[in-house]
Amino acid sequence: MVAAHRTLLLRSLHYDRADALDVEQDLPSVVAWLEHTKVRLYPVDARGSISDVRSAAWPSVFNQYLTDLECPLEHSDQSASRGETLDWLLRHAVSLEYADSHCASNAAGAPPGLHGRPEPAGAAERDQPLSSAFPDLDSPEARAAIARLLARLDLGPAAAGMAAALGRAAERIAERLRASAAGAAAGDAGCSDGAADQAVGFDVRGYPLGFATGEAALDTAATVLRLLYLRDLRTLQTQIDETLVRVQEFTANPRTNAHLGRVGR
Amino acid sequence: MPAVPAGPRTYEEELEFIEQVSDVEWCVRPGFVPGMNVPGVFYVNAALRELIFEELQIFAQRAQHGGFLPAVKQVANVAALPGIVQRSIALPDMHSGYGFAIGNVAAFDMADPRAVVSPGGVGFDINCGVRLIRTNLSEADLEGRKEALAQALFDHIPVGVGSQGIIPTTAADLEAALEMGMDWSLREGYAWAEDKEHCEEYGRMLGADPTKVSLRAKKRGLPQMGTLGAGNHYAEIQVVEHVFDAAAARKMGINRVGQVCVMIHSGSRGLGHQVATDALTAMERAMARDGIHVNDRQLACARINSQEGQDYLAAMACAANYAWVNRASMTFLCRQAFAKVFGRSPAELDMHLVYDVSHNIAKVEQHMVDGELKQLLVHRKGSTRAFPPHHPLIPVDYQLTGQPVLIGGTMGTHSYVLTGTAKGMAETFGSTCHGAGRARSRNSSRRQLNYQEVLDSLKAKGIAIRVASPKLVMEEAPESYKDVSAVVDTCHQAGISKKAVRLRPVAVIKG
Repeated sequence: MVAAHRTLLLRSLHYDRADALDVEQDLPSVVAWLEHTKVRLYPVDARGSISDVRSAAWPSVFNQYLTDLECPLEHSDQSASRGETLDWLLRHAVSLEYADSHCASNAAGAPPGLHGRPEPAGAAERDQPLSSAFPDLDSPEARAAIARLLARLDLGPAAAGMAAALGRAAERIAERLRASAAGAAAGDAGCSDGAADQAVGFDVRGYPLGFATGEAALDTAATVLRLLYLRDLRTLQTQIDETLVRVQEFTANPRTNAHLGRVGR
Repeated sequence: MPAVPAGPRTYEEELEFIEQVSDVEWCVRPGFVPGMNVPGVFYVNAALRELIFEELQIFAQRAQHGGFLPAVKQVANVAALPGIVQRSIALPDMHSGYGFAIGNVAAFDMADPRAVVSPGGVGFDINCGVRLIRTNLSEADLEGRKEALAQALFDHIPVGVGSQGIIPTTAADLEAALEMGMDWSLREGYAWAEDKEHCEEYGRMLGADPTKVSLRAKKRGLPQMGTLGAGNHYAEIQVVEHVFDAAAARKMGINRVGQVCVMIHSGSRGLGHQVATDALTAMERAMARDGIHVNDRQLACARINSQEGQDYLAAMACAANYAWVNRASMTFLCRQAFAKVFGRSPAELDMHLVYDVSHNIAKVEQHMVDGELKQLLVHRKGSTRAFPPHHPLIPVDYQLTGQPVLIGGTMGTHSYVLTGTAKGMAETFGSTCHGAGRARSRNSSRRQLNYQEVLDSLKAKGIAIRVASPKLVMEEAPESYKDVSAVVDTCHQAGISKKAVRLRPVAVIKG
């Protein structure tokens, strides 16, 4: 059985037979594959001997290869250490891979390839700040989601590219928030739009302090302290409520019996 | 100060003691009744003033014999109780009650050994109060379902005199509920954790001692858990008609006109009534023993530190807890009714408790009196606590808006949500009005109004109604009450509370 970490490393490098690797048997071919596709230590025409996996000289070629790679491990021929050597080599390859594509990998939030899809987006699109949050703006899911968002905001279809469409959507949302915050501040009590209720402008001076120090800045600071205190108090009260609910799971058993009811006169 | 004449005073002589302080505030000077320790104050606007003065005039013409005392006299009699501080306050919905006027606030200094507690200052329906539950439904969602919903509520929440609840309650359950209040409802699963957070006193008076509640009171309370009762109690489906303060309303989860809410107005049923009755008997003996003199026999009271005083406070706390459990149980039933009619869970319908207020209660609170922080026993009878923003005893969600104050209208009229203010804290011990306030006695309503006409007029307004006893409906007709909008406007103008939301009923369930 392949060690779990090794499988993970191999998978992250998109190695075909990641789940069924035999270190003894497959080491030469894996090393050759790594050199050709990931490490690329030697120029293409100098990779002959490392690629010749059936050759009797391959182990010494491999030792030389490790030396050239400055592998810190003692690269003897013993199979116990072959596994460790392979692990080191795999990690080295992953680090090289990461150095090449860390921007895209970080933006995606998950290692590329985990979903069996090729690496996203070209460098040109990556330079756009918006597309970094959506590394694969051209995927069907992203296109569908953006289309839904545009429809919700009463905007037309994305003609000038997805990034531009998202930019327009962001502007429209900001406009609406500003408008509803202004509405709420003006005391629009009859407003039935649920979203507007959340968007109340925050002005510390609007909150009652309960006393006055005679100094505006000090009053503002005291009001802020009051609000922070209330936030702590709310957290405490929520914890108390949660505890009560947990206890209720053991004690509560509400019952009714309609036969007991009697309407008076 | 005018000299106190020997015989009964004329109306004009009485008026010499009453002075207008502002458009909506009047002061009753000591001397108006014998032995006043502090002045009386009442808040009325031009529209409500008539009723108050008319009552006093009739009383003077009767040469002060027979009939009940006018509310102003009652407010002044309370000002003569031992240990009262600052002033005896009457709110715009004031009307005559047992001993204390309904709508009267009086605070007694806990540090004064002579200070008293009086069951009349709390009322017979201990912790009668109002709660408001919001939903995410709009008025349009009720279209075609209003009658079904009213019927579902009526089926779930038994109403009327002698009604019995559908939540099985054992004697042990009752004991626990009296001691724990809404904590019992929570433990048993009848309430949500957030309900407790949005309830005055967090739904539990800590001083409750069930051993101080008589067996008779417990027997009355046991089958009534989860019932509305009769009189002016109701459950109403209401819609938001106007938002005065959008920021405060938003904090309450009320964000649009037409939003559907449920208001429940109920109290401690027979149990609270029995606790008050038991205490009055005990206190009459204590008054004779301790030599406490009062102007009106109905003002039976006992020193706070006496055994009778402490016993009453412990029993009152139990009755208050019972009332919260009762309202919590009805909230549970109401959520079930909505879930049934709309086929969605109460959580999906966002049926959160906005707030729960008590308007018949006495509580130990800290207030500034003449620049000094004092521990007071504040009696609020037909008056709602209305604490200002930043008060430590109000929920975190309302720290910036002030405590929500729920003002139930009368059958078929508006209800209001107000918020507490700093001015109210300074002037009225953080209190404001509680409802419309009766303008006409129950008997006079029965004589002068026809119940069928009352029902028809509700129907004409498109209000679905379910009542246990239609023949008593005219007692609670809007015509029997003051105009709730005038009451609320007066409080708003006086600055003792602030208008936030106005609601109008679309379906009414009552006893």
